[in-house]
Amino acid sequence: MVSPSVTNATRDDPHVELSRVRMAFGDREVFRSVSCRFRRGRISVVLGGSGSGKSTVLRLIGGLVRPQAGSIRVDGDDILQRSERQMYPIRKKLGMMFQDGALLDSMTVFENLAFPLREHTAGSKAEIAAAVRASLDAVGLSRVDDLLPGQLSGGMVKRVALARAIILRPIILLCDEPFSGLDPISVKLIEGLLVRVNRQLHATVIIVSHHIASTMRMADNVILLLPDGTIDGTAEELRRSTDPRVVAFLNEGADVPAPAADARW
Amino acid sequence: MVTPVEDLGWSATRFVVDLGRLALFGFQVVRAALAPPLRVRRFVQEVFKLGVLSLIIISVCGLAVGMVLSLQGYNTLVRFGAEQSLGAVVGLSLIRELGPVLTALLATGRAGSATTAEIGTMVATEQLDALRMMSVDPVDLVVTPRALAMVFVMPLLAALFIVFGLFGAYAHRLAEELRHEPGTFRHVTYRIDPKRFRSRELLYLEP
Repeated sequence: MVSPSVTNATRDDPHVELSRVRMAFGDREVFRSVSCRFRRGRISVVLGGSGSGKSTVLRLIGGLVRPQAGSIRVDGDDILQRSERQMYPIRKKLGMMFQDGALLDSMTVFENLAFPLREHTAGSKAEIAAAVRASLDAVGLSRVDDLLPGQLSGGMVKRVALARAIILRPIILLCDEPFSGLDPISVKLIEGLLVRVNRQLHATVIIVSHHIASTMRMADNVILLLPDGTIDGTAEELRRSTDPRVVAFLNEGADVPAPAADARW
Repeated sequence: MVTPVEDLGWSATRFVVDLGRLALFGFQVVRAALAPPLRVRRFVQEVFKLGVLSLIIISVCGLAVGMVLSLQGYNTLVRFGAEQSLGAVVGLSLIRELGPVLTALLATGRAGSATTAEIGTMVATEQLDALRMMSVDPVDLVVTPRALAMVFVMPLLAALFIVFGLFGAYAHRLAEELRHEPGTFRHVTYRIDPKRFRSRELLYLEP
C-alpha cells in the first residue's frame, strides 16, 4: 500500500504557479505582485471582487495576456519564455471555458465541438461524430447538434462550452465564471459536471468565480484575490478565518457599509 | 506650450506604430495564406458572403453610373457633332477608371464593413481568444480566408460593374433615340442593332 504522504506529495505539487506577477493594462494596474499555486489534480477556486483581476489570472495562465513582471509556470514550463506560436503545444494541455461560452457563432453546436478535433486529431468523420455525441451526452445535452449558439439558453451555452473545453482531454481546465447568470439548478448541474471532470479525467480544475456557495462545496483549495495580495487555504480554513477581509467576502458583503442614503446621483 | 508639442509627438509616433502594426498584420496574413492548412471551404463561404451578396449593389450602381455617363456625355459631345464617340468615352472611363474605383469603394462599404463588424463581435465575445486557447491561429482561420476571398472577388465585381455600366449607357441611349425618333418596328430593330453600339468605338480603348 502506498503511504499517504507519498500520494500527497505527488498530488500536491503545483501544476500551475504564478509568482510575483505584476499585471497592468496601460496605466491601470490590475495587481502589483500576485503569487499563487494551483495543485495538481485538485479543484482550486479563485475568489475576488469584480475588477480584482480574477479573469486576468486565467488569461495569464493561458498565455492570452502577458504580465509586466513575474513568472508563470504551467505543467513545468515557464510560459513567459515562449512566443505565441510556441504556446500552442502548451495550450493543447489546457481547456478553457469562457464566461459567455465564446462558442463560434457561425458554426452549429456540432461543428463547434468537432472543430478542435478536426484541427488537432486525425480521426475519421465517424470517429469525430462519435466523440462529439459522447461529449454532448456527458454534459447531458441531446438534439442540439444543429442549433446555432445564438439559439441556446445560457445554461446550455455553458454546458456546450464545457464539452468543447474538455473534448481534447486537457490536463488543466480553466473556467471563467462558470456559474454566472445561471439559475440554482443549472449551477448545481455545472458544479457536478466540473467535479466529474476533475475526478474522471484527473484534470486540475481552476475556477474563477464569485459564487460563494458552490465554491465552498466543491473547492479543494480557495484563493482569495485581494488588492494587496492573496489569501489561500482550503474552504474550511477560509470559513474559520477571522481575517476581516475574508469574513467580509464570505458573508457576501453583509458587513460592508451601504452607500450613504443621502448620496445624490 | 509643452502639451500641444507632446500631443503632436504622441500622434506622430502613434501613426508610425500603427503603420508598423498594419505591415506586420499584412505579413501574418500572407504567411498564413502560404502555409497549410488550406481552408478551401472557409474561402468558398467568404466568396459567397463578400462576392455573391454584393451582386445587387454592384449591378444597380453600375447601371446608374453608366446611364449618367451616357446622358452627360451625349449632351456634351453632340454639340461638337462627336456623338459617335460616346461609346468610347463611356467604355474608356468605365473600364479604365470608374469601374475598379467605384467597385472598390462599394465593396469596402458593404463587404468591408460587414467583415469588420463580424470580426469585432468575435473579439468582444472572446471567440478569437477561444481559438487561441484551442491552438488555432485566428489570423489563419478568420482573417486569411476573408482577405483571399476579397482579392478573388474584387476583379470579378469590377468586371460586373463595367458590364452593367455599359449596358446602362446603351439602354439610356436606346431609350432616348426611341423617344425622339419614334418610328416603325423596323426602325426600332434597326436602332437596337447592337452593332451600332458595340462597334469599334467601344472596344477601341486607346484615346
